[in-house]
Amino acid sequence: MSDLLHDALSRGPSLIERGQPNEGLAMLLGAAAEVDADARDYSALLHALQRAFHQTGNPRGVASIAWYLADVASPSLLTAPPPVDVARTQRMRGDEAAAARAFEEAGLLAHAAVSRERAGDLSGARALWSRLSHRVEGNDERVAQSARRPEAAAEQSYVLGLVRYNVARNSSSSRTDRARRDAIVGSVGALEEAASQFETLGQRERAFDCYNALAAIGATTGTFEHALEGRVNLIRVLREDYLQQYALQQFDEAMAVAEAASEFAAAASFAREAMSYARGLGLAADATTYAKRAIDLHAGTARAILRAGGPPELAENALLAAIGLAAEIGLLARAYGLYQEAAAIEGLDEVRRARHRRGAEHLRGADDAPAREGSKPTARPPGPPLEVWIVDVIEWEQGGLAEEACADILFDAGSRAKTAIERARDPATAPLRRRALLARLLALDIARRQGDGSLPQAAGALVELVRRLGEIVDYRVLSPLEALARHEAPEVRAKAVEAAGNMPFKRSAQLLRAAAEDDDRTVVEAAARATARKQSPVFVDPLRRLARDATAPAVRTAALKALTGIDNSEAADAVLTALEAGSAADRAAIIEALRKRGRIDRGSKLMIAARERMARGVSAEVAHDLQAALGSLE
Amino acid sequence: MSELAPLGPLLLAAVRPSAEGLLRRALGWARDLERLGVDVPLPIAHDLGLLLAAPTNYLEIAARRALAAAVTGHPGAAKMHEGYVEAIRALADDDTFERVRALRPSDDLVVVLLTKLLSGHESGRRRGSSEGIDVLDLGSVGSLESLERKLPALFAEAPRDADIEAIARFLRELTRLRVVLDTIDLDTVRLLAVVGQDGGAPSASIVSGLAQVELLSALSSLQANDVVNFSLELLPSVLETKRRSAPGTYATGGYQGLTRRGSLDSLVLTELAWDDDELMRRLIDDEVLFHARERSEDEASRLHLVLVDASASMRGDRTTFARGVAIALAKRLELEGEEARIRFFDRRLYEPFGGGASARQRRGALAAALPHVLAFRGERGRSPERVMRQLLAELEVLRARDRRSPVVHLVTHGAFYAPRALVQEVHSRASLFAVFIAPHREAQDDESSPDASLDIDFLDLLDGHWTVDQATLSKSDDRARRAKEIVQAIPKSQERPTSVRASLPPTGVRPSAPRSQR
Repeated sequence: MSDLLHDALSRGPSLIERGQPNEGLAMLLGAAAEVDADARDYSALLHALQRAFHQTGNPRGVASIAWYLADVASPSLLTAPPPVDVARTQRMRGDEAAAARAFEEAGLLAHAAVSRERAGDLSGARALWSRLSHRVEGNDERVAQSARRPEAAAEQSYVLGLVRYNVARNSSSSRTDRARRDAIVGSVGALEEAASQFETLGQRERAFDCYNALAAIGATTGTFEHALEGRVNLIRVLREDYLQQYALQQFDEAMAVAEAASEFAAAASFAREAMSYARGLGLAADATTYAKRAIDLHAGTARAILRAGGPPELAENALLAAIGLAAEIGLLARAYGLYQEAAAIEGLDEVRRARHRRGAEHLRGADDAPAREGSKPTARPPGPPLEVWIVDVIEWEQGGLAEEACADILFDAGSRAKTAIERARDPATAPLRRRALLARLLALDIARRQGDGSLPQAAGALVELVRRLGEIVDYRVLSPLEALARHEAPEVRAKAVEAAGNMPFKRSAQLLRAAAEDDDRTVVEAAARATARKQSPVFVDPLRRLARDATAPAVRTAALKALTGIDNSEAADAVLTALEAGSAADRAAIIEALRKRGRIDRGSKLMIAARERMARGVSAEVAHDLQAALGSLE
Repeated sequence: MSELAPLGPLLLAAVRPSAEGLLRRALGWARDLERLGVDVPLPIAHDLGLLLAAPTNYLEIAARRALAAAVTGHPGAAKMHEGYVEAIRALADDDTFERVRALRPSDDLVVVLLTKLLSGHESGRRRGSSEGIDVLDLGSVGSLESLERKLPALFAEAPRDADIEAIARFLRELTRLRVVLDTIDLDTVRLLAVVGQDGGAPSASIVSGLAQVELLSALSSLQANDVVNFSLELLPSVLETKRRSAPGTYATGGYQGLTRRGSLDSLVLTELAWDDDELMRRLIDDEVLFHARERSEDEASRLHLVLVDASASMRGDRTTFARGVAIALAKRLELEGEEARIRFFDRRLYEPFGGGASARQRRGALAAALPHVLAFRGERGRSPERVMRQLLAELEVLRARDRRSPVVHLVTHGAFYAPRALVQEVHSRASLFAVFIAPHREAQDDESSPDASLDIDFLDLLDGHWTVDQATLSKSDDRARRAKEIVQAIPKSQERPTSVRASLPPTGVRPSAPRSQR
C-alpha cells in the first residue's frame, strides 16, 4: 500500500469524525486518484470513502461507490438517492422492471424503455419509445428551442429517426401492423433528412451514423433498399474520409448482405468497386481477391437470371462482364470457360452465341496467370457498433452530463466477468472504471454545489473535471467534453479542447473544428496544440479540412504539421499541395516539421509523391522547398 | 525536326486509307486520345481506328514498301512487323469490327472505342515517338496527299525504338485485346443509333457532338449494357408512335385538318351553305367547322419531367428497369412532339443533361443525354422530402416562365417516403404519375399484390401509378410487357390526365388503384 493510501485510510475517516468533513473527504479523494493501486487496497479506500459519504449526507456518492464495488444490497440505496441512481442500482440488482419505473420517474424515457426491453416487456418499451418520439418531435420545449441551431436540428432528426426505429423494433412484425410500418417510414425519413443535413454541415461522421442506422433498419425489416442505401453511403463516407481499411470492410459486408438477399448483380457491383478502390490504393492482393469475387458474382448473376427464366441478354451481359474481368487479371482459362457458358445460353440469338464460340476459340489452350506468391489480402478492422439506435439515444438523453456518462462506464466489465464480484475486481477495466468513478464524484460535487449556491464560480472546478475526463479514453466521454467545450468560460473550453486532443476517436475532430473558430485566443491556441497531436490516419480528412479552412493560422499550420507525421498518400498529397500553393507561413511550418523528423524513409508515401511531382515538373521555388524539406529526392 | 515529324511512325502502320479525308480523321482520333490521357502509339490508333470506321474496300492492308529499309537498324523488326500486318488483317475480318463499321460510327465513338480497347493495354501505356500530335494543327499543314512519299524521311527524323517496341507489345497482348473486343457491348452503340433517329430519318452521325467522356463512361458502365438491352426491347413499340400532328389555330404553316375553333378567315366555306338560323345554332353550339392550321412544335402544350431515382436503393435490376422505362417514355414523348427532360435524383434533384430551348435542340435532347442517362451515378444519400421541395420550387419558376403544363413522371422504389403534404403541393402544380418498383423482400408473399408491400401514403394524390414487383422484374416477358404498358399508358396531351385510368389495360396489368393509407 502506498504512503498516500495508508495516510488517507488512517487520517481521513478520523478527520471526518472530528468534524472536519471537507478535509477528510479531500484526503480520501486525493488517495482515490491512485487508480493503479492494488485492488484490495483500493477497495478498502472506497469503503472508507463510502462511509464518509454516508456521514456527510451524500447518497449519490454512496451509490456510485456501491456500483463500482458491485455491492448494492443496502436498502438505503433504493430510498436516499434520486430516481436516476435508484434505477441504476435496480439494474445492478438485476431488476430491470424496477429500473424502468425509476428511470421513468426520473424522466429518462429512453433509459426506461431499454430497461423494459431487457425485462422482456416489449409493449411497455414500445409505449415509452412512442412517448419519447412525440417528445422529440417538438412537444418538448427544450428540444424545440435547441432545434433552432442547424446542428441541433440535424441531431434532432437523427434522434427522432432512431427513436421511431425503436418503436418499430418493439412492435409486432406483422405486415398488418400499421403503427410499425408508420414508425419505419417515419424513422427512415428522419434518418435520411438527418444524413442530408449533416452532410450539408460538413459533419460526415454524423452522416455515417445515420447511414449505419439505415443499414440496420434494412437488415431488421428485410428491406434490401434500405440496406443498400445505408451500405453504399457508409462506403462513400469512409472513402471520402480516407478510412481505407474501414471502407474495404464495409465493401465486404455489403457484398455479404447483397448475396444473402440473392441480389447478385448488386453484390457484383460492390465487388468491382472494391477491386477498383483497392487497386487505386496499391493493394494489389486485395484487388485480385475482389476481382475473383466479382467474376464469381457475375457468373452467379447470370446463372440466377437463367434459373429464374430471366432475359438471356442480361445473363449474357453478366457473363461478358466476368469474361472481361478474367482477361484483365490474366485468368484466360477462366475466361475460356465463361465464353463456353455464354455460348450455351438458351434463348440467346444465334449470332451472339456464335460470337461467344469464336471468343472461346481465341482462348483455347490459354492458361490462367499464376498468382503472385506471398501476396495476401490485408486484415480488416471490425465494423461499427451495431446498436447505435440504443447507444446514441441514451447519450442524447443524458444531455452531455459527465456524471451520467461516467456512470455508464462504471457498469462496464471485461468480457470474462460474469458475476458482480468478478466485474468489480476485473483488472482489465479497473483503471478506466476508477477514473470514471472519480470524475463522476467530482461532477456530482460540482452539480450539488452549483445547486445550493455554494459554488458561484464553477470554472475552476470544471477545468478539473475536464482534466479528469481527459484521462478517460473512452468514446462515451466525448459527449460531456463537447458540452463543456461550449461553456461560457474560455478556460473550460480550452481545457475541453485540450482533452479532445487526447481522444483517438474521429468525432473529437468536430470539437477541434469548432474551437478553431473560437473568439478567445487561448481556446484557439489549445485547438492548435490538440490538432498537432492528431497524427493518425483516422484524422487525415479532418486535418486536411483544418489545413484548408481554419481561419486561425496557428491551427492551419498545426494541421499541416500533423499531416507530415502520417504516412499515407492522402496526407502526402495535402502536404505537397500546401508546399506548392500554400502561404509562406504554411510552407515554413511544413519545412520545419519535416526537418525535425530527421531523415525520411525513401519509400515513404511522402517521398514517393514528392518524386512524382518533381518528375511532372514544378517551379524552381517549389523544388527548392521540397529539397529543403525532404533533402535529396534521388 | 520538321513540323510533320510526329507523323513519322505512320510508316509502321499496316493500313493505308484510300482518301486523305480518312487519314485526317485518323490523325484526329490520335489527337483526341492524347487529350483524353490515353497514350496510344500513332500507328496502332491509326490502324484500329480505320478498321472501326471505314469500309475495308477503302483500305489497303499491307506494310509500306519503304519499311524494310527504314528498320534495318532494328534486328527482328521487319519479321515482327509482318506479324503485326497479319494481326491487323485478321482483325479487319473480325465480326465485331464489321458490326461497328456497319453502324458508321462518328469520330467521337471511334475515339471512345479505341480508348476502351487500348487504355488498359500494355501497348497503350507508352505512345512512342509521336508526341506532339495533339498540338499539330492539321488545318495548317496543307495537303497530306504526299504524306506517303514523305514518310520514310519523317520516320528517319527521330529514334523510333519506342514505336517498334509498342507494336511488339501489341502483338504480345493480342489475346487480351481480342477478349476486350468481344466484350464491347454493341447494343449500346445500336441504341444510340435507334434513339438518335429524328422523325424516321436516320442520322448520318449519330453520336456526333456527344461528350466523349460521357460516352466512354456509358460504354464502361456495367449497368449500361443491361439498360441498353432492356431499352432495345421496348423501343420498337415506341417507335411505332408517329410524330404528333396536333391541329392549331395559328397560321404557322398550311391547313392541316378541321377544328371547331378558329377565326372567320379559316371557316370551312361549306358552312355558309346552311340557312341563317341553322348556322347561328351551329355557331352557338360550337358545331361550326374551321380549317385547322399546322401547329408549331414550340406550341407543345406539355413539358414532361421524367425523374429517375438514382439513389443507392435502386442498385441492381431496379436501375435497369427505371432507366429503360425513362428512355422509352422520353422517346415516345419526343416522337409526339413534346419535350421530355430526364433528370436524376438521390439526395437532391440533378440538372437535366443536354437539350435546349429551341425545338431543334429539344428534338435531339434524348440522343444528347443518352450516354449521361446510361452512365449517371448518384448514390449520394436519399431524401425524398428535399427532392420534392426542390421540384416544387422549380415548378414555381416554370409556372412563371413557361406556359406549358408540366407533367411529372416519377420512377422510383417502393420505399420512397415523400411527405404527403409536399406531394399534394406538387400535384397542385403539375400532373403527377409514378412508377414504383416494389421493395425487395427476402420472403415475398406470393399471395399479396405488388401494392401490398408499398408503404406509400400518397397514392391517391397521383394521376396514375404503376407498381412493378420483383417477380415481374425477374421474368423477361413480364418485365417488357409491364414496361410497355407503362410507357403507352401515359395520356396524350389532348386527354385529361384522369383518362389514364379509363384507358387501362385489362385487369391484372392495370395500374394499382389509388388508395389512402392514412
